Parts: sequence; C-alpha cells; structure tokens
Amino acid sequence: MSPKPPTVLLVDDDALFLKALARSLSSWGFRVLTARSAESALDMTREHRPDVLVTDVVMPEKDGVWLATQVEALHPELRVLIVSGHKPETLQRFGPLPTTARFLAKPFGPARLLAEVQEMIV
Amino acid sequence: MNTALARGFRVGQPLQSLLRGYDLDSIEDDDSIIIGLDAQLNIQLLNPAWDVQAEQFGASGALQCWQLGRCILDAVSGAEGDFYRAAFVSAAHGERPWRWAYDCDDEHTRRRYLLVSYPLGQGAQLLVHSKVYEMAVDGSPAQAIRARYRQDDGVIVRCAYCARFRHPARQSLWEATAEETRDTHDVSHGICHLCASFHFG
Repeated sequence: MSPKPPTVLLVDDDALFLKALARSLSSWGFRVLTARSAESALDMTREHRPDVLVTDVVMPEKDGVWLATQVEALHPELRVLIVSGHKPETLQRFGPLPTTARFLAKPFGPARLLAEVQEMIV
Repeated sequence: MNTALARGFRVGQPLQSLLRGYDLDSIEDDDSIIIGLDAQLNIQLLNPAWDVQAEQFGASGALQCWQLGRCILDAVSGAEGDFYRAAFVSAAHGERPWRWAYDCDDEHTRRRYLLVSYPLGQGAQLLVHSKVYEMAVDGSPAQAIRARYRQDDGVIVRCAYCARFRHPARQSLWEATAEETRDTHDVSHGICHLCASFHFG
C-alpha cells in the first residue's frame, strides 16, 4: 500500500491564486485543501488535520496572522507557511508572527513553493 | 466602415498553439488592450478592448488599419521605433514579464500607461497595454488609485506578480498601476489570470 500523501491546506481570499497553487501542489503529489477565509481554514484544520498550512495574511475578515496564531496554540504540530506581498516588518501591525511559522514573500514561482513545502514536511 | 466586421477577438494561427494554458475568455474580456505578437513582431492577436478604446479616442480608423499580420512597429518611427524594436525582441526572449511605464501628459491632464510583455516562447509574446491613471495635473495618483480599486469589503486586491489592481465592479478585470503607488496594509496580493497562466500554467 502506498503511503498517504502529505496534506497541504491553502488559505487565500483570491480564488485564482488558490487554484494556481493547488494545481501545482496536486501535480507534485500532495493532497490539497483550500479555504477562502481564515475562519473556515481553522475549522478545516480541526476536521482534516493537514500537515502544512499555507496562508495569505491580508484577507477581508480575520487575517492570516490571526490564523497562524490560533493554529500554533491549537495544533502545534501543524507547520505554517505565511505568504504575503508585504514585508514581515509591515505585517507586525497584525500582531507578532508566530515564531514557528515560516515566511515566503509573494511573488514566488511554483518551484520555490515546492521547495518550501518539502522542507517543512521532511 | 463596417465596425461590426472588425470588432471582436482575433487570434492568428501562429499564436494559437503558444496560448495553451492561457484563459482566452479572460483575455477577451480584459479591458486592457492585449496584443499578441509573433517573432517578427507582427500582430497575431487583438482583444476587443482595442476596438473599444480606438472608438473612445476617436481613432476608429485603426479598426481597419490595424489587423492581424501588421507589424506593430509600423505605429512608431525613428528613435522610438528603435527603442521598442529592441525592447520587444528582448522581452520575447526573457524569462520574466517585461514592464514599461510611460507618461502622456498635456497642459491639464496627467496620464500614465503601462506595457507588460509576457513571453510565449518561439519569440512570440503577449503585450498588455493598460491605463494606470488619468487625472488633473494637481491630483494625487496614489489617492485616485486607492479610491478606484477599493473592494466592498475594504480590501484592495493587487496582483503580486504584475502589480495590476482588480476592479471592484468586475472581478475578472485587472488594471495597471504604477510603481509610485505603495502597498498599504489594506492591499491583499492575489494573482491575475495572465500571471496565473504564465507562472503556474
């Protein structure tokens, strides 16, 4: 029996961005879940227990820093990658970034995303 | 002139195979003028925005003059023509989209336009020509842009790759902006259909 593929939960308010990232990650063998808001993503972490959470920060309701902070407290085993077009120092206005979370600046290409996710799963 | 015959989405055969992975419906609907060029810089794709803007500027004669097969450099001459020839040839073979902003001001109005070239391979490219802003000479470009693109939920959505803004009334429409508009904390970075196709297609 083949091993279960790692699950990545993608969170972004931009549907097209979610679709692009999901297509890339799926083609590399990951199981991919998507959420358009931080609140629904938090619900999905409880239900689906993903291995990696990739989240945008600036979203209409709750932001990605809030989500990453919640996840750090509730699911410390879940590895978090924060992706944003803003610099980390600019994101401090949303609160301190969890120390366990990694950061990837937008824009990035599929190869860079793959490298980051693979490093987090190893 | 029969504009009904000229209007519409036209794609020449040389570009059709190179556009696999691109969303042709979105290209057709885009309010920016999108021009496809083959390796000889001949026009092989025109979206309807070409016709719409030509009519708006009272240049509807362009509907007949500028058709598939015509070299885009016929529109410019002299040093400007030399510049664009070199730029387009270089852009077509680049690994990343090429961006070029230019101003077209008069006594009363400031206008900025943006050209973005997406290389398609085999020396072909998609050129996207967008208006960044048009305003009175004493206006603030940044304020005008922020007011124009704020979504109903308060967020301003910008493509992280080409820096175009998503139009609040038409979510599939992305419009150009300039480097001088800094990203404030209410800017959410997404991806437009062209960049999604180019980078992740």
